[in-house]
Amino acid sequence: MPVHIANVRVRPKKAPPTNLCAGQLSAMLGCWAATKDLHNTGTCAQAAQDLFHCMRVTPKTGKVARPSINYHLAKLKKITK
Amino acid sequence: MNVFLPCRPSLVRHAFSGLGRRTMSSARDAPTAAAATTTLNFLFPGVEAALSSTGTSTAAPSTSAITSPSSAFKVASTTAAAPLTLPPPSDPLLSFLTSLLQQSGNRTRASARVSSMLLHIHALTRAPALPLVRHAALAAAPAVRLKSHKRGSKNVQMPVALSEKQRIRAGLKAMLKSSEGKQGKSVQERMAREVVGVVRGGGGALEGKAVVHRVAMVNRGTCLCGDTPCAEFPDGGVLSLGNLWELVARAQAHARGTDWKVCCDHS
Repeated sequence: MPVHIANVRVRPKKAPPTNLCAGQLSAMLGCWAATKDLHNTGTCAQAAQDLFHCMRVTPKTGKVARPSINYHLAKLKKITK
Repeated sequence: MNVFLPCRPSLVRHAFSGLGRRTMSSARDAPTAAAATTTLNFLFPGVEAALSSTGTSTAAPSTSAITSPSSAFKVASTTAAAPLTLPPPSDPLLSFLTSLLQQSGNRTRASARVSSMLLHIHALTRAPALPLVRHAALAAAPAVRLKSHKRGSKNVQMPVALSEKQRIRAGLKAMLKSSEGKQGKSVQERMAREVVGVVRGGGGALEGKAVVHRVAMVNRGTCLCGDTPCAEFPDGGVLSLGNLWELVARAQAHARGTDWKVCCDHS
């Protein structure tokens, strides 16, 4: 018995969030782990300021175009009907 | 507070405006002076030479009748060439806080509440309120946010850095939520007590920030990785294993004879 699928669609996998200033962020997190200065008032203040400066000057990444595979699958379904 | 000045607004420079520097001795004053001297020379021959010999171009505007406040301002301004600088029309932080308190598009009511909050802060501390609000907003602002990401069958929390606007918003939101447990009949009074509490080192907003930072610190191995495993150096540095040759080169540069350990659990 053939399987009938009404609408053939592909659900894209959720991509991990992009980190703009990954180096500075990892340095600050490492400083927290080493000194437990979670409020950035002592030893980790400079690492936090470096991260804030990086976030201030780094341009945002452009929007990634979503794949059009579902559009082509819908077209294919009309052709094969 | 609106300050009335008897001059064109474009001639006044705000502290944070994008207007270029305009001095009071602009092109409009030169034709006025030239017209005045021409008229005077017609009525009193030789006055132009006398004026030029004294070298006071400001005398020409002064001889004409001061009929409007703008001309009076011009007269006063020709003697002092420095432009007038005013503070900005609204503080950006207070404007942001007003937007957070605003409900149903009623900006006037929210603005009045913010002003009342500043008054309450001053009543509690006898100190200027705006610097305290700024200090509290920065102190309560978290530096990172945790985003949940599914890796295999496991949900991991990834720390993501925040921009300045995002940080301030998160800090003010945390203070607003924490102020609900404070004493006071109105939101401005409770918010004022929360601001004073944060400045003094207490408050629920600071505790919430510490919790977020602690979880981010525990999950620091996922901030660079994404889906690739990580290695952690004993001094806290984190590298991605996506490029093995780069990892080997950095390991050789940091050769200390200590062992690495894999920090991420990839099931």
